[in-house]
Amino acid sequence: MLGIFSWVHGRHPDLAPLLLLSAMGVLSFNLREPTVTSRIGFSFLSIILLTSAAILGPFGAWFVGAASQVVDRDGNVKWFQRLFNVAMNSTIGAVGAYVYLVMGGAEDLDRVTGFGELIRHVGLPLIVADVVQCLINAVLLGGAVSLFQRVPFWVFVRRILVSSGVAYIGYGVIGFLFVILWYPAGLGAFSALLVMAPLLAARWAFVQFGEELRSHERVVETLVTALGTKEPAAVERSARVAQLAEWTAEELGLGPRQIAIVRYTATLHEVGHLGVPARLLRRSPEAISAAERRAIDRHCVAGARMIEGIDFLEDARSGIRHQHERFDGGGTPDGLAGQEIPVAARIVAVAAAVEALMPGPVDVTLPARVVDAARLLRSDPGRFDPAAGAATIEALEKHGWPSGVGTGVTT
Amino acid sequence: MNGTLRREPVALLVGVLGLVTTVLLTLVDRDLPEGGDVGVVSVFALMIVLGEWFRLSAPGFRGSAPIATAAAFGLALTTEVPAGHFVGYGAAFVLAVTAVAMVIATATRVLAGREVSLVETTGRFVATAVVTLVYRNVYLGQSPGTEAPSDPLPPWQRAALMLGISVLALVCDTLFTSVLRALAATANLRRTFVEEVRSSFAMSMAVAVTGVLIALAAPPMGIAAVPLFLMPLVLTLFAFRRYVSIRATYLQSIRTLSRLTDVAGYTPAGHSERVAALSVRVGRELGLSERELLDLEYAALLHDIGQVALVEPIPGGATVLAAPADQRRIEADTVAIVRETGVFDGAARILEHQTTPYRQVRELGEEIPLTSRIIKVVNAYEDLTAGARSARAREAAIERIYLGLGYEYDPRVVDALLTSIGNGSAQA
Repeated sequence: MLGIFSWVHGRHPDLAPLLLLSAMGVLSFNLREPTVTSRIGFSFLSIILLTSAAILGPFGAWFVGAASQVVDRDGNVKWFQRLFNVAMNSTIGAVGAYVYLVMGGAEDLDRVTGFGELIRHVGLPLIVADVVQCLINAVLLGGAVSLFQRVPFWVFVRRILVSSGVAYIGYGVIGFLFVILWYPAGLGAFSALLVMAPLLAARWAFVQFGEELRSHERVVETLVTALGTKEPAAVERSARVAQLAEWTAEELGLGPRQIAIVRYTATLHEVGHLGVPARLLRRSPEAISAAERRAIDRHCVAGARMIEGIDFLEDARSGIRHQHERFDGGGTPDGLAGQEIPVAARIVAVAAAVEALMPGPVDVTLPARVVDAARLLRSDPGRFDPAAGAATIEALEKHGWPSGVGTGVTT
Repeated sequence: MNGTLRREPVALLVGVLGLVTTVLLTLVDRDLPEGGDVGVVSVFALMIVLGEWFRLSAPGFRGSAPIATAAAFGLALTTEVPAGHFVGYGAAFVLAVTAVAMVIATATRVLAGREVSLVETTGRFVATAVVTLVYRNVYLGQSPGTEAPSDPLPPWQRAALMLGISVLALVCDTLFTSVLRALAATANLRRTFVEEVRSSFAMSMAVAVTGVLIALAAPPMGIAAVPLFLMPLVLTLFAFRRYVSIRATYLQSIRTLSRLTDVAGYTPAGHSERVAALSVRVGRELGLSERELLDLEYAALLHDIGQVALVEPIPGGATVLAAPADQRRIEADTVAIVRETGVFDGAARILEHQTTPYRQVRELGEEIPLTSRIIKVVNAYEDLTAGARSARAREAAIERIYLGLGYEYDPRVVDALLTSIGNGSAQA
């Protein structure tokens, strides 16, 4: 619809640049980093769309955005995902082009000469269009993800903007450089070839954002695998506790960084079991003496010491150490109380206790499980943080029982 | 160590020679800029100084200063500024400015107590010299002290030409640093060169193109083209920082994993670190490349992680004393855990063969990486000495290794081990 509107009202772009930019759009989309753990794809398509806004106008930018998504080697993408991608990118392209025009961007770029005019009639409008495109991208993605995966809308939007927003807007400058090379420098279509180098540099930079997130996931997974070779049941247990803890953190309205800390804490809350003799872990709970119980409970101190030295897990360490504290101050190892206990520890304490209620897929209905969980949390009033407990119950009612597989968006 | 001492003076000599020659030539030929060009040149010079100051270096990476190199290339290739004005300075002046800017930046870094690499800085100067001389003197035929002649080619052909010259210059830079590096280490030139090209190719292309783009955008945009076109490189600098922090995360996780078995009481404290340090020394003795050494170090740090699956720890954590079947089970668990990281496949490949006896290479022609054989020998040595450093413990351990020479252990590696621990006489 937007396409027809801009065809009728906007200018009609030349065919050659249109095809060239569409080809670059297709290329960028196919060069994108495969999204393994994060659901956000990084590509330099945003830069191409920005350039199209200036060189091609609204219809051209709309067309480039749509065309880039049509050719896709990945056969696993479902039709509605593809449709969404087409709609989103064509919208970003067309709206960007309109913003460019509204801000006084020049349409006939051949006539713009001199530094001052270039900045006023190309540079500034492009910057504004860039910011608007970045926001549209975040909002549309956030909307879709919150609709399909029930991640709260603002949580996801903030996550995108915090992780890649600055780079998205910053690399928009390449779009401006592209336009300068094309018209004032007189390079024409050859500029596309030259601009590929900065574009690929930008792609590499975007990839690093994804890589950073993935490196954290991998390190955590490796630690869990190490634990799993000793205690196989711990792997699924960790995944379920992590899922429940993450939902709880979302319910409590924590920021993206805090949520990540909570998830790492929950995933690794039993990593200290690596330091507990295997024969104790394999014995049934009834056959363990008080002294042995204490030896097992020291695992949280050992676990916190084990992951010492990994920078990104620094905040999760205190969560692991204090997971057995009591809210009224009577717990181990340090006897912290109330808000002194790290929020991650308070959440994980609840999540681990609730998860322990249901070993394995027992055929009990969700409401019954929630009632059980609520009863457990009430049974020992001083043990848990009431706010975290209430949030966990809400999360259970909303999402169901944690399955431990497909932990949702994991950025 | 000796090598680094030898190659720095060579680089210093080349650098000082370049500086003195170009400054003298500039003064003799009166190859100086007039009025408006001074501003243009000072912006370039400032960018070179800044670029040298914010240079990149990371383990396993060729050090570089992309912003400085791109700015220097831009200075060399820019002959026209707005309003059809051509700059009035020539090759000697360009190189003198570049050399002075590099000296200022290097001196500041030394004063600030930061590390400098004379080899790399001189390499960049060599590259700039190649661009300047080939473009200005050979192609344009500009004579000293006169205005640069205009280039008759259409823009896109000029761009292609400049790009070609820049790539040639970067190859010269790599060749220069490789020769110096090959002089220093016992490594051979071809392998050093290939490795340097591989580790810096992408960044070099971005640098070459940026230099060309600055020169092409200077006529319409003027000097503003310099910061504007360097901007993507600056952003990439931040991404590089992120890249380095990612590597650091993995390294930290390796250190943590290597300590896991210590903390959990499966191996004596510091066992993995000792195996890693000695393996690297043996590997260096056998002439492995830096990349292989890095994989070897990681593999050595992680080689015992599979022990966490054991119900009862092996006495002293000494896998060499465990039954072969148990050794292989630990090995399989180790490899599974290391593979899980998804980034240390190099280390995982080494670990897959860490228990395979050497005889399988000799008799069955099985391919076992040299690095795996190193870990097998060094691990046995460390297990047998159990951290003791006395001459008696050492001799006892070596005697036991000798019993398995050629059957369990690769004789070449054992020889290298003896040299590394300073016991060459025991070979007799």
